[in-house]
Amino acid sequence: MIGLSHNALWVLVSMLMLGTAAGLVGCFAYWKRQSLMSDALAHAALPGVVIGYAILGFKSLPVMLLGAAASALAGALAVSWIRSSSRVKEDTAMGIILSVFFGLGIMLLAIVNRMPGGGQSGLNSFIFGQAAAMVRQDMRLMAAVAAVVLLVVLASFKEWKLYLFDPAFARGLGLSGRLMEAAWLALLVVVIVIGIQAVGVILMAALLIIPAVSARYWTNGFGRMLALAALFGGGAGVAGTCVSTLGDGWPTGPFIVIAAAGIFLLSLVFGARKGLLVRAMQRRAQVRSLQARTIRREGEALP
Amino acid sequence: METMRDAGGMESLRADGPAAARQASGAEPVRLADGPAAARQASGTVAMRQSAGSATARRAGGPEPVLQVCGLHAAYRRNKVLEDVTFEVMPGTLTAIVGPNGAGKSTLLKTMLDLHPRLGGEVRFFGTAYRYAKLRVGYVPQRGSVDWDFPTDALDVVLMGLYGRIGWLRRPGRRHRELALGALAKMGMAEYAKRQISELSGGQQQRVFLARALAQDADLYLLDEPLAGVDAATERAIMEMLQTLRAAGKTVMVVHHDLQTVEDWFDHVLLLNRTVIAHGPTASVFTPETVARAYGGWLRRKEPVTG
Amino acid sequence: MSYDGWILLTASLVGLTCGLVGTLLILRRMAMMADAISHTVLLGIVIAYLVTRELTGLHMLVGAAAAGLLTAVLVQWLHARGVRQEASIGIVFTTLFAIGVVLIATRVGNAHLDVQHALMGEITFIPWETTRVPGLGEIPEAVLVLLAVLAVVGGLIFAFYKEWKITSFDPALAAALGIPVAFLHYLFMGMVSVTAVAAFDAVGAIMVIAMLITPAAAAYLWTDRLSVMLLLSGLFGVLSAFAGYAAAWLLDTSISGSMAFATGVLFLISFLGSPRHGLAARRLRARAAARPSAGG
Repeated sequence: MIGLSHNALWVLVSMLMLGTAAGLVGCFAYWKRQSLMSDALAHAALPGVVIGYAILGFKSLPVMLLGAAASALAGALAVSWIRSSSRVKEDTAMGIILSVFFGLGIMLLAIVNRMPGGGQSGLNSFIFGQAAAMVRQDMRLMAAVAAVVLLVVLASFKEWKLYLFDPAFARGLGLSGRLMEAAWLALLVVVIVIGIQAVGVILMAALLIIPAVSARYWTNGFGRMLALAALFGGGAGVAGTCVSTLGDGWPTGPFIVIAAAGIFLLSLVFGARKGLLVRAMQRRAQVRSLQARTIRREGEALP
Repeated sequence: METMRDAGGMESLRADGPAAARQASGAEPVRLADGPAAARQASGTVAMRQSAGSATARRAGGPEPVLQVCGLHAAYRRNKVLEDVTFEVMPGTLTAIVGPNGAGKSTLLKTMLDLHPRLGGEVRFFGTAYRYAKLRVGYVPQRGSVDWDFPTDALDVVLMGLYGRIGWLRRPGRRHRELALGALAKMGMAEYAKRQISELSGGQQQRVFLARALAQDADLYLLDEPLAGVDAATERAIMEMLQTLRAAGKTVMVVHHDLQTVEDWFDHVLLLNRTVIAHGPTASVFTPETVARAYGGWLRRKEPVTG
Repeated sequence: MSYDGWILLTASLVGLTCGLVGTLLILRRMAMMADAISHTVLLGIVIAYLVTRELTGLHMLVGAAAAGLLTAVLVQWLHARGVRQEASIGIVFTTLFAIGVVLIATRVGNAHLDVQHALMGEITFIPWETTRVPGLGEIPEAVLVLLAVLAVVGGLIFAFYKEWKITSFDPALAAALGIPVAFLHYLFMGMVSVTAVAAFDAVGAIMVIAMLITPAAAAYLWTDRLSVMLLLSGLFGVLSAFAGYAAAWLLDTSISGSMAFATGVLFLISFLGSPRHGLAARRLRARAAARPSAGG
């Protein structure tokens, strides 16, 4: 870490924050059974980004992020609407919004790219992320937003736990379901949107899914799962970013994802709660005790 | 069940891993029961506990059991759901499987049919393994396990019960259609044949499911809570149909949720709570004591069971 | 055939094939699987390129089809180990895609294999890459591949129609009847992969997803019969292709993006206006049912 430039340090810190925030919010997505929603919303954000860019005429991260958020939110509402008002199922609705919104975004992008002064709103970095190419202010913004997400989740931990696992009881206590739903959506959109710039559309979904699922293999407790997911996410962020600095112009996104996947595999096999190893040992113990009982009984049944 | 409801019917199979899929994917020919010899061999391999009624019949050279379950074990996630389940079912009986929630009733059916992984034990249908007897067993799953928005009509659903017989590249012919219509008519649903299934009421959907099982013309029927959430008329229609089947010599087992009606409809009962609490003719086996044991004191009955 | 003609033909073939496969796809609730496969074929293409150093049709097709099948197998494997369905899909496809991108960035360099191209396709080049077919002259390669895929997919759907129907509607019953549910599942995943790959070269990943899912969803809202749904879905795919092309021409913008958006517009129209399952019709029926019956 000694020879790292100031800039590189900033990148590392923001990736750490991003990974942590994504790990946390990813847990919520997991329990709400909306893991893939993040992929759909990440794609749905594209038109907003392009419009944000087009209105200003130059690349301004806050405006593009706002556009992305609005667009993603519209996508989320559309999925909800389709699911509740027709017989089309949720996964199909997500697929529709994902591809149609993204298609619209591509249409707008092609038009914008031809505008005078237009040029690179950077589709490539939108798809794959280029954390290393981010400007200092952008990273500060990202780190700040991620910090806010962390604080919000920590401050309202009890409310989230209640809302996710016992919504009826929560309502009885006066916790508004609609408020939590809105808050959840806001958190999700915010994390997606700040992450897209760094790791790209497709890979943002990975950060939201993989650390949370990995944590599941180690614990049953909600709080512990959150902590572990945050740890895994942050760790993957840092590890991936470090590896990506080894090459010239390597994108950060995919390396972060591969790091997360590595952690997942380790959890899958060695996880203390339901990893494959532990399960295999449990099953062997069960079968052995079964055999012992059967032998005993057969012994008794013999004349 | 939670797994089933996740993303459509496929879910229940996928959760069961390669073993179940392998078993489900073989297109093996149907071998009829091999007769007394095989059954005797089957009973010799594992120590079996006889249930009250059937033992005498067997030893007297009577009919062979339609279904033999021995030492069946199954788990759902981390919990043991079936523990050393052993029983035999004789032909021509109409048996209710009752027990508290989570007692493993649905799991029992699914495990027997290789839809759920088995941890140990043996199951024989007509003296042979399930995969050789598939076409002789009719399974009617819970109504909630299917996507009722699927674009198909009632007749089509019933026809599906015949797919096992129609063979790979062929289309259902007129004969099959007539069979299907006949089955629908038996359940009083003939005029709904061309109706989209999402337009049917709960009771009507259940009748269609049953018609589908009837069309299969199986020898053993396994039904999972067919009377849950249906109206009284449908309940009567279904139970009368099951009794007709029994009169024709078929065997029926029903996972039943309503203790109050067990004596009205069923001649045999299997009380299950992870393991077999009692099994036999309703008259002798369905007593306050056995029920209390099965329900572990959770249940308070308003009046005692008579006889 | 004119330049525009080839493009429209290619897109129509994509629309048709995707419509057929897409119908079964959404009925089997595997829409997100299509999303996954459309991304992981990138890995297949990259590996095919690294192995053969060729960018032409057959190698890509094989590599991508293999990637698609691998995706299905891995998702199944994870799911059998207790990971939720959507989480399995999410883990597998993002990881495989990430590996694909890493391979491109580190081994291939930006020269030939352009990820942007893979994602968005370049249908404008289709008419130029031709091969000679005896008796017909110069035919674009993509058209030939798509025709072959359409024939295979259409044939399989027709031949095993009732098997597809029952395994989509009630796989438990299918298994109980002795129908090979798992085999059909993987066969179907293979069909999806091959369709996606054949369409990629022309229209890119995003549009393939749109074409697989959206026209079928629109058709779902118009009919209660599977056979009609299949046909309508293909028809809607073709319509979207034409409408999208027209829009792209008018606005001078990306063709694949416009076609994808066109599927959405068609869906919206169906969602709102379909006489059987559209929103307007539902509201009218609900209101009619709520009104106290005035005689008759």
